[in-house]
Amino acid sequence: MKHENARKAVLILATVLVVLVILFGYGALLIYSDHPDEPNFVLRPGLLYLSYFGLVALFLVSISLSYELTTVDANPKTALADLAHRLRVSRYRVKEDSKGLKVQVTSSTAIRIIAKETRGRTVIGYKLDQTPSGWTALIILLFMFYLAIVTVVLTIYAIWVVQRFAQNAVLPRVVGVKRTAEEGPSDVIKSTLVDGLSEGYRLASEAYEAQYSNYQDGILAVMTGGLFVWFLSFMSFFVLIRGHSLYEDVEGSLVASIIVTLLFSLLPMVYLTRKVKIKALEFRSWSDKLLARLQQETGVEPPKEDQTSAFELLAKASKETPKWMKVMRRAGLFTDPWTWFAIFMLAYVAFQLILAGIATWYSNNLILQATLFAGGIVAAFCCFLLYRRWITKAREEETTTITNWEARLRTVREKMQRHLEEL
Amino acid sequence: MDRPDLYVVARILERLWRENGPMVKTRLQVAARVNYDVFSKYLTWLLEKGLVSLENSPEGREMVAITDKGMESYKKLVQWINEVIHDKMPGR
Repeated sequence: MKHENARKAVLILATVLVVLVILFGYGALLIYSDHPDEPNFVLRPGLLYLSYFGLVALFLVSISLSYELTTVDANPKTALADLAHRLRVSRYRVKEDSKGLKVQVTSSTAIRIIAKETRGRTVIGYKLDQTPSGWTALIILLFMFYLAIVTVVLTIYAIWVVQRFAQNAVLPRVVGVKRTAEEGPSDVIKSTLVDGLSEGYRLASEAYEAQYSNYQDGILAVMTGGLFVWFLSFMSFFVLIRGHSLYEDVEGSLVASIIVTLLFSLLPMVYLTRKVKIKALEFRSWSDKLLARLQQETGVEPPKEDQTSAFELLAKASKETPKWMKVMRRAGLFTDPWTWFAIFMLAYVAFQLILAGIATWYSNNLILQATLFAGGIVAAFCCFLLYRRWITKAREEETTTITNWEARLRTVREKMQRHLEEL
Repeated sequence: MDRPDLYVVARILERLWRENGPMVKTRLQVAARVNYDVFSKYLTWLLEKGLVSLENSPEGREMVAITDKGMESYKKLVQWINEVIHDKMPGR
């Protein structure tokens, strides 16, 4: 049975995980306990770091494995297009790109469906994918050393979820249903409307998620800044107004610093709530409207008599799309977690190396110090270069996408109008 | 009518397509979301272009139905807008 491959993979990955967790735990135990039987101080952290890199490797293997689902007679492009349509009819969020289909399974997990031609037949396969928020969560967890175990556990669980989805939702839709190409005009209208509404819903939902993520990041930044301002202002009030003693009028300085912090946080909070959150809610309202219409088109209950036509809704949604794309391009951590992982890693390495350089200031080991500082500066420079490359690319892509989109909208509008006039 | 509103035409054609048969004018006017005078102008234009046809019900009421040409036209509009949504340049 083909689906057994994924189950076996889950079993093997879980077994390797158990071994690595034992090694990781033993490594941690050696470091944090004074172990008389293990005098070699290199082996202690070595074991811990080795098992950590083992966990990272296991994570990378888990996300790169792909599994065969079934084979079909249609060519890969048609097979995927038909499958995408059927999944959309069932209201799954489907994204079509050059690599295949990406279908959202849960709020964090997605499945990547691929099709390739082998010996005259099209093999439909799948692999684990994540939603942008899912990738972000996994990468952050992996980055937090001791939580790498959680990352791998979640990844293996996600393979299990994806395997069940492939069996229960994808497989029945791959085989045995009439193809779009064989439908009459009325059916084509129906399936095209469903495809359009589903894609519009996906774009609006992703824009909402990206914008809401921006809003949450903003809140976090204001809170961090607020904490910093509070600390600085508290110390300033204490030292400048009350002198150096920590026992003199703590309350006064506390109240004054809290007022300063609130004043500092007020404007950014108002901006975040009035602009960023409102925009997110606007995207949410589009996503809800498109989903409601999609449900009507794919459900039993037909749209109401005086309701906006599905065509009109799609035409209006297409005018909003440049805004959605702009937000998605700008939400860096959310839409491109791997690049941001590399940026964070480099920043972290730079910070650690420079910190270590400062710590060895009085060691009189100039070579060590120079190496640490040079390493830190190189890492910081690479981090800056990577960030600059990302931001330049993101801006270029944003401009190109929006220009193309607007050109397409103008073209289609003119084409439709001409079509009506020339009838 | 020189330049018909795309949305109004689409509303009428979509409603008729959804009905899957002839429908009473007054119901169609509700779906078109325009007043009776404007609706009458659009109906005349659609009839002239052969996108809809008029039929009489057994009760003697005037009914409107979508023609094959109307169906084909609406299909084109839907396909074009779908291509835009899917980030593709609309085809022929």
